[in-house]
Amino acid sequence: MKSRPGFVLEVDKSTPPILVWHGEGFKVQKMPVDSRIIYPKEPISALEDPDTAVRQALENPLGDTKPLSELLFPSMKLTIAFDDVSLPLPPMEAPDNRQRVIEAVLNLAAEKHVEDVVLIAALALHRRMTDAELKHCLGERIYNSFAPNGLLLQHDAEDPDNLTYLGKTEKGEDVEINKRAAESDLIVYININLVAMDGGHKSVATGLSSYRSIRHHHNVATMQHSRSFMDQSNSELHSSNWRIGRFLANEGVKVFQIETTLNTDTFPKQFSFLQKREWEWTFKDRLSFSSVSKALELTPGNLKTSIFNSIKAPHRLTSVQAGEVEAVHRVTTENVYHQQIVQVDGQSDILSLGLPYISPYNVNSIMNPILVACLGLGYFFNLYKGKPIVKKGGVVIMSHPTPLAFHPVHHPSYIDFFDQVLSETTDPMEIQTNYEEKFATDPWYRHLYRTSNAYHGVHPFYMWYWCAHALDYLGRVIIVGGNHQAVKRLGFASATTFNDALEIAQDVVGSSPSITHFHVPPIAIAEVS
Amino acid sequence: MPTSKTYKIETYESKANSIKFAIRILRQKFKNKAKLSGFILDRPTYPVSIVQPDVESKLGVNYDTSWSRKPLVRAVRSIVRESVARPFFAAVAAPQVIGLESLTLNNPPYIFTANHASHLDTGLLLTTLPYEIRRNTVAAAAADYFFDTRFKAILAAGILNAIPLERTKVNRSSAKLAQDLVEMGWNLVIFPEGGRTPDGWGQPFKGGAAYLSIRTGVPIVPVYIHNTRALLKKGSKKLTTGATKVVFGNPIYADEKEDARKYAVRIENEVASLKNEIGKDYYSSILNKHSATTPLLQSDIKSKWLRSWLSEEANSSNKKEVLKWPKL
Repeated sequence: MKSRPGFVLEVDKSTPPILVWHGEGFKVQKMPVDSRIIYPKEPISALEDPDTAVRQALENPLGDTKPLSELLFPSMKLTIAFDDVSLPLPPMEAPDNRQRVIEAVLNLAAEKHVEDVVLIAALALHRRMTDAELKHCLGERIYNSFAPNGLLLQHDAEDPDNLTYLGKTEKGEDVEINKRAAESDLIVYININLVAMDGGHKSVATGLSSYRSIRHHHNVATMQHSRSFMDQSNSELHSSNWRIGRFLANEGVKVFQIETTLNTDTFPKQFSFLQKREWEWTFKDRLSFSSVSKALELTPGNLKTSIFNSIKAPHRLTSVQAGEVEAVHRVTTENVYHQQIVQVDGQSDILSLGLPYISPYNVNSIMNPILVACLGLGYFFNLYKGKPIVKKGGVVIMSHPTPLAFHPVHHPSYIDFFDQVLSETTDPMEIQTNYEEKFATDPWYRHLYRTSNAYHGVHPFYMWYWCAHALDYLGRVIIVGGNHQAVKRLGFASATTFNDALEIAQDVVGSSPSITHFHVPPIAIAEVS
Repeated sequence: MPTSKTYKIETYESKANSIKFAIRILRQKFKNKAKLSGFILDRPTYPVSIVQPDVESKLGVNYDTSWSRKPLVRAVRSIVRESVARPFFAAVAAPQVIGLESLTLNNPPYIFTANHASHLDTGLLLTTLPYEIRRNTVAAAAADYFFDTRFKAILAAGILNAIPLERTKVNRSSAKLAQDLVEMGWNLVIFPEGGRTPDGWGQPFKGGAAYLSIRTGVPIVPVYIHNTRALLKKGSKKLTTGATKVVFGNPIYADEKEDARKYAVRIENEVASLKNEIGKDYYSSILNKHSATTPLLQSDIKSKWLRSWLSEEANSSNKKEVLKWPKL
C-alpha cells in the first residue's frame, strides 16, 4: 500500500482532539484553532526480500571499493562492529537488521575461510549491553558462536591496553580508537540509521573511539553550531566526525560500511492507534486508546516501565547500502529523508511536543529528568532542516511526567550530575568548564562503566550539551504535567495543563502566538522554509 | 472580636462554600468523564482541510433500516410508542389535534408534510396520528444528523421508524427507499423545509415530498404544527412544557402538468393556510386562501431583530390551556 505523505494540518473547529505522548502514557488534547500540527509520513513499504537485498548490496558496493567478498581473505583480521542498544527505538522485533546483515557478512567470511573474526558492539561511552540485549540484536546463532569464545566484545573507551592513538586531525582533534579495529585488515561496520544523524564516519569515529577523542565533538561549542544534527552539511558535530573519519582512512584504517534504513512502523498492532490520524480512529481505536490509557493510569510505575520496555517495534528494512563510507551515507541519508521529511512553511512562536517513554539512552531503563530534557531539546527540537520549527526566542512546551527517578545501575553519574551540578548552574558552558573533567575522570564512574552496565561518567554532561543549542535559542521551556521539583532543577517552567502552559508562554511570545505541534509517533524531520 | 453567633454563621458559610466547591469539582470530573465517553462513542470529525476518503460509509444515507421494519421490532416499537411516547407527548406538549377527520377522505397511504420547528415535531406528529396510520408510518430524517453515528442511527430507526434522507443534495438511493416504502403502503412523514427553523419563520419547501407524491400518486396531507419551538427550539437543550396544536389539512394531489417545484409551493401555501386557521376560524382562513391573502410561512424581512420581533414565537403564549369549571 502506498504511504501517504506527511503534511501540516491547520487546526479548525472540526479537528478532533489529538494524541499527545506523555511519558509512559498518552492523552488526547484539543489544540487551539489556527494552530498547526505536523503529521509525519506514513511508513513506507519494506523490502520484499531483505536477505537478497543485503547480499546484493554486499556484492554491489557504492563508492570506490570492491565487493565485500573480494576484500576477504583467509589470513586476514576481520572486525565486525555494530551499533549498540541505543538503536533502533523501540528495539525492533527479531530478526534485527544487525542479525540479518552480520549473518550475511559471516557467510561470506566463512566462504573465504576467514578465521580471525571478532564482533564489537560500538558503545562509545554508552553502557555495556546485557547478554539478553546482545542475543536479541544478533540472534542466538551468532551470539552462541562468538560470545562463549570471547570473540564478542563490547568496546571499552577507558581501556588503555585496547586503544590505539593515531594522531591529530588538521583541526587538532585527537584520534584514538579501538585497538583491535585499528589493527584489523578490514572493519565491517553495520549501522541502523533510524534518523539522518546516525551513521557515516560517526559510526567508527564515535562508536569505537575514546573519551579523549569524543570530547572534541561532544562539547558545547560544537553542539551550538550543529543546526541541526539531522542536516550533516550544517552540523559541526558531523564535520568533526568526518575529519576524524578521513584521518582514519588516511592512516590506513579500512572500513566497509553497511547502512540500513527502517520504515517508521513503530508500534505493534495493539498500539496501532498511536500512528493513526485521529479523525480516522475507528471505534476500536478509540476503545483501545481509552482502555490502554485507563489501564496505564492504574498500573504501578515499575510495572508500567516493564510493559513499555517489552514493546518491540515492527520496523521493517527499507533499504540497505554497502561500500565506501561517504558514498554509502549519501544514499542512506536520502533514503531516511524519503521516509521522514515533511515540508513546513515558516516558523512559529511555540513548539509543542509530546515526549514518549523512550530515548536512545534509556532502553530497558528509566527516563530520568536529564534524559527528558535531552529528548525534548536535544532530539525533538533538532528534528529540522533549514530553520528550527520555533522562532528565535520562542517557547517549547513539552508534555512528560518527568519523574524524579534514576536507574542506579545505568545512570549513576546522572544522579550526581542532577544533585551536584544542576543545583549550581544550568549553563552548559559553565558546566563544561567547571565540572566535566571531574566527572569524566572519576575512577568510580570509570569502574562502573567498564565492569557494570553504567553510562560513562561524562555522559550526563553530553546530554546537557545536546540541549545547548535549544537553551541558547529559546525564550522559555515549559514542561506540562512534570514533577515540579525535577522541572525546576532543570531550569524550566512547570505547568499543569497545556492551556496553563500557553498562558505562561504569553509572557514571552505575546497573547496570540502561532503554535505548531509535532505529532509523534512516528518520527519525522521538518524541512522548514 | 466576632461574637459566638457570627462565628457560627461564618463556619456554616465556609462549610457551605466547601460543599459548593466539592460539588463543582465533582461536576467538572463528571464533565471530563462525559467528554471522554463522548470521544469514544462519537466518530471523530474530519478537519475542514482534509478530504474525506471515498470509502462508502454504512452510516448516513447508506444506513440500512430494514431491520427496524421487521415484525418483532415493530411490536416493540408499538409498545414503546403507546405506553411511553404518547403519554410523554401528552404531558409535555398537550397537543390539540385539529382536522384529523380529513384522513377519512382517502385510503392510506399518505405523505404527511409539515412545518418544522423542533425535535418534538416528529414524535408529536407520529403520536397524534390514528393508530392504524401511525403503526404503518415511517419518518424521513436527515441522514447527516440522525444517521451520522451508529448509536443515533439505531435510536432513530428503532424508536421513530426513521429512514435516512439526504437533505443537502439529490440522492437517488434515499429517494428510492422512500418511494419503495410508500408504494408498499407505508405512510411517510416528511419535513420539506429540510431542517428546523432557526428563528421561528418558515423556510422554503423543497421538492422531495412533491416529487414522491407525483411519482407514486399518493396524496400529500399538509400539516401545521404550532408552538413546538417554544418547548424545544433549535440549539436548546432545555425542554419546557406547554400547549401545542397539530392541524391536518385535506389530502391534495398534483395537478396535471404540475411539476414538483410548483407543487411544493402549493403544499407550502396549504401549510400556511393551516397556520392561518389557528387563531382564526376555518372560514376566514379559506377566504384568505382564495383571495391569496394568507400570510406566508416565510418572511422576507432582513433585519434579525425585526424577524424575531414579528415571529409567531414572540407573539404566542406558551401556557397550557387550563380547563376551569365555570363560575357558578
